[in-house]
Amino acid sequence: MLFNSIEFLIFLPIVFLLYWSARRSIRWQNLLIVVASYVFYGWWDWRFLLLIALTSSCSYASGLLLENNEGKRKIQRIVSAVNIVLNLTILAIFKYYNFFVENLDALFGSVFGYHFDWITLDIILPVGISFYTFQALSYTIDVYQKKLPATHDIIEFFAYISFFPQLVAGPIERATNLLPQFQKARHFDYAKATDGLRQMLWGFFKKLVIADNCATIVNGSWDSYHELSGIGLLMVGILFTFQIYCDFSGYSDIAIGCARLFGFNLMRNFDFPYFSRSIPEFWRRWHISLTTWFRDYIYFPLGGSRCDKWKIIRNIFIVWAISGLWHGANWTFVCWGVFHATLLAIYNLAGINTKYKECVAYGRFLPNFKELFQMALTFFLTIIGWIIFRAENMTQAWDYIYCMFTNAPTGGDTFYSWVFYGFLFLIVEWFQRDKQHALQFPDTRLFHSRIVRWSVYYLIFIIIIFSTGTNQTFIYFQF
Amino acid sequence: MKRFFVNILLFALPFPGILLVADYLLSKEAARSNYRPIESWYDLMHGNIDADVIIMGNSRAWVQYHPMILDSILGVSTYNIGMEGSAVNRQVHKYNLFRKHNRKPKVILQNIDLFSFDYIVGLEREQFLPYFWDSSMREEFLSSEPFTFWEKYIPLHRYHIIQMKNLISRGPRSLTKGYQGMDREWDGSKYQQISELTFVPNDTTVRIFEEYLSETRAESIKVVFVVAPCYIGTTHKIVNLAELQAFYQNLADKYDIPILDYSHMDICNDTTFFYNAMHLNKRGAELFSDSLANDIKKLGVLNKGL
Repeated sequence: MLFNSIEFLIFLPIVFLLYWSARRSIRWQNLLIVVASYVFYGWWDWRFLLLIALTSSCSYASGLLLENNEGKRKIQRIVSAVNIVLNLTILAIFKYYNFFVENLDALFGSVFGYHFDWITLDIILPVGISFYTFQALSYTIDVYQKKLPATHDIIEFFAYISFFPQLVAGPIERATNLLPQFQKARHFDYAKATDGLRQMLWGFFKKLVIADNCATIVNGSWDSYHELSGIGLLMVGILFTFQIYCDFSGYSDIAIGCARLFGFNLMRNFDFPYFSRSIPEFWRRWHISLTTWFRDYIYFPLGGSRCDKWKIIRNIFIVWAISGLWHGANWTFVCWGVFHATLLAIYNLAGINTKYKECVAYGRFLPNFKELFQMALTFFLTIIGWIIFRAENMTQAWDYIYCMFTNAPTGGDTFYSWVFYGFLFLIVEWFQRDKQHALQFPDTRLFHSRIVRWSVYYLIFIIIIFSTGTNQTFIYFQF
Repeated sequence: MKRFFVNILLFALPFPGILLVADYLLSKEAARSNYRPIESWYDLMHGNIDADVIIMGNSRAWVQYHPMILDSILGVSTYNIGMEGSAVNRQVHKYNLFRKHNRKPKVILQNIDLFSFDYIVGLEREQFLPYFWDSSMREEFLSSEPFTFWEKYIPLHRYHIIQMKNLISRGPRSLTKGYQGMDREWDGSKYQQISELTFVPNDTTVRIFEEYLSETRAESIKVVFVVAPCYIGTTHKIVNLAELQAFYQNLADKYDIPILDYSHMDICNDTTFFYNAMHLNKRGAELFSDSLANDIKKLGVLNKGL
């Protein structure tokens, strides 16, 4: 079920009413969340439910086994390793099997002249499999590392894995943050619920108005990129940069806002990343739940930054190659990861990778010239990255980038229709960059007035109704 | 929680009213856009067409019949209500709207060609956007055009299909009494793609068309069939040309309608007068309109009608 669908418009109020009707029993509320989440997920294809149930059961059982073998470190290591391998095998079969077979086939074909493409399978990629697999892995690792006790309640564990607002595209929650919330009573909080609705509204604006309109132009232009001028290609690159941000962060805003309606706090996933002054800062602000997942479960165990320079660089490349592959079974994603790893390594070698923890121009109205230049450079580098990410293969990516710098300028007006909403969006995000989300109003007299607040909501609703783009699925569902 | 529901309700209640008012105001403004698909309805829906002769047909009417040339030669007022991408099933609906909002014409020049008797719905949707408030438009077009449920019933939402700049576009009108001359050179790419063309009349379209011919006869409006020039190579690709011609002739005989056939006019052999396989460019359209006006004059249909 998509957030931007009629089904969800009916589904959400029903689940909301039932959920708060059962507020006297945590268990009933959790059960309702499991049922609702399975309906939500099964709406795509009921067969996906078997897979998520399998992943949940294995991780739940591994948690209990880890607890039952308290003090027997060797057995615990085997249990957690088996669970990790099992989860990654499921992921590998459904997401990467054909990719590996095709590449192996190409390799053997070129070296030995033998082909075994007959063993490729016709597999449907289950929506959001990478997200809930990582969430399940985080539970097992955290229990193994004693950051969290194993849960005995299978319903609350299933609710943790399948919680519908963030099931298919994150934020990838940590068991240490989300699971305890299923164990405590939730009380309806008016301020939290209304703020959740505000965040959802902004998420829908980003998705339906910005991302979907950008998608129409980007999809239309990408196939015939040879015919576009260098400036045109750059514009399309910029539009895709906004599309992917508004698509994904829009989803996160809707997910976080939706969870708040049910009394849950999900982790922040985006922190206005395009206002970053460097690539390391960008990655502290983009898809935070995944970046920190890789940091905590791969980068740190590899030695993180507490080793010599070259090992740090090695660790960065390992993490980012895996991160690229996580996004999809295509070399473009791996190259995108390596591209960012290279940039991060450069910043690391220059010793400026940990700068800029505060938001840009903090306490000031506008950035200074240096900040502006840094933001523009970072933004340009992310565009190059997104072009690699969006391309169907690396040949197309290089060709696109080559044409961007060499094709002669020509006119084109499709871009202009987007400019108005693009600027509106950027201005709102700029002035709200130190907030949790863009519709978190400042604590001023102006916004204490209901007329002002509701006028803003009406305006955004009208813009959504008036300017929603052609319905597109969320990009990150495929990951 | 009670406060939450009360506020949600208070917020939601005025919203449909706000949307309706916004839709009404925007539609009134949008109707004035000079974006061609929208502009093509302005005069018709506002009762501004005070014409003795109207031109009906698809894009081959819209880009080929120059009303000012006809006006100057015939000494009457002419207006072109040709409709891009349409067959006569839709042209008749446009004519019905024309009649509801404008005075009766004396003569209708009905462009007929290979595609006239297809059954076509799903035209340029943008053209209808400002007229959802008009009951006659809803009756004739909107019930059957492919608008989604949301586009039909959520005020304002249908405007998401059009670019803002087209909606607010003002300035000189893009059409001259409904006509738009195409100042373009020959582009043979589509012509190359055509291997053969076949005339297959649709029964529903034919029935609609015959009802319309009966109505015009009852109202003493004279209809003239016009076969406009077409690039000769394209005409040669029609595999059942004789069948097509016989079909028109039968209709003409049945309703006592004269046919003016320009399918073999001199300009049909020369691509410099066309911009593609089926359409005359501005230069060709002016030559054709001149010939047509003189032939109508000779035919005397306007005098008979007066």
